[in-house]
Amino acid sequence: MAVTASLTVSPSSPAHGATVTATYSVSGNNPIAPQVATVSGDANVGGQDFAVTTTLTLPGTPAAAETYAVPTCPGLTFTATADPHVFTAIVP
Amino acid sequence: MTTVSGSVKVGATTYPVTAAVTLPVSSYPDATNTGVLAGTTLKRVPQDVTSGPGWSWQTSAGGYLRVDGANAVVSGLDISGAGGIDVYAANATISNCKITTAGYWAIGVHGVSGVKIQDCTIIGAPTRLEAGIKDVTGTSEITILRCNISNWESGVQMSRGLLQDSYIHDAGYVNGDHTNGFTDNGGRTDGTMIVRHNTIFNQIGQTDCISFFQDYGVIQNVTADNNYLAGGGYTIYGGEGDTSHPRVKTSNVVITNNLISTRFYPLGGSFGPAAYFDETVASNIWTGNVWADGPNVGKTIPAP
Repeated sequence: MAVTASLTVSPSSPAHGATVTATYSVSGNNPIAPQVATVSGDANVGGQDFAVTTTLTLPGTPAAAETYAVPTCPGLTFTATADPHVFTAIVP
Repeated sequence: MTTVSGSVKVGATTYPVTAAVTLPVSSYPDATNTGVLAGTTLKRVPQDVTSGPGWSWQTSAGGYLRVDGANAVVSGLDISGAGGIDVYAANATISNCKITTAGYWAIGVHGVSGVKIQDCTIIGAPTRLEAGIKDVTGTSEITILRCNISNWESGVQMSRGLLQDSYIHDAGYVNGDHTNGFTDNGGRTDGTMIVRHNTIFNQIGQTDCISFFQDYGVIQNVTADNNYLAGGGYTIYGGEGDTSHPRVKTSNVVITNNLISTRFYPLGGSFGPAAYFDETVASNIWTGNVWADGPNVGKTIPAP
């Protein structure tokens, strides 16, 4: 699944002194669970074909690490919050 | 419409993202909306002009512009390299002037009321000014609007009137200075002093951005509202306490809705955001003062 990222700002029309909140969201960065796979083959013994199969479990993949840059905007100074997705600024 | 830009790194891939925000049209004062109006052609004093309605250039004391005619208008002038403007006439208007001086003050008002100073650029040069705008007698009444004042020991020193929409910044310093963005030394017995919607930055880590001091008498009926402040020793002094007079309680000291920035010091001023505010007086109000930025952005600053 493709990874996409977005940024939202709220409120979109703040007043002087208001706190603006910028929030990142990422979709598609999902972990992949271990998966069972079947390996198929064919052996010929004395002219006779033998179909053979076996199974194995492929390892899963964790979600990739995500880091979020401090947003920038002329006239605003964003600072981090306890939530790494979220940054805030006071409108001067 | 303004763009907020950011990026997210997912694994080894960086995804740039943006969002739109509409900021208020008028921000706090800065160099773009204070001082001499753009497009103004100034006349030099004394090279181009030496007198006007209610004012004249004086050659004594190294040269200064004296305003002594009732309802004088001083406008569109560039005064450089000498004394500044001294106002002795009530209801004088000084507008759209640039004053460059290292004297005691760029504009001094001498015991008169109704003086309006607006859209002026004041620069301390070649060394810092003692005061950008000063009520010399402590008995004047002045309205100051949209002025840009830099390189000062005291940006504005007055105790009656209005200071609004002005940009006071880049303090100067010589040994022994007490550096004040705006200061009211107390002692006024009538009228009010309102300091509203200014940007005042004092990058020097001593004294204040806004101070109410009881140097000459009681502090009463003063307001500091909706200012954007950074620096000083304490960014705001609230009037309580005195050093040379019998202790008198302040009253009607209203300090509200100010933004204090950590741009120079983590505590706003080098010692803290505020000091000497008397909460025990019911008419004194401290509310809505918040951090403009830093780790406590948006959080309320309690009364000191």
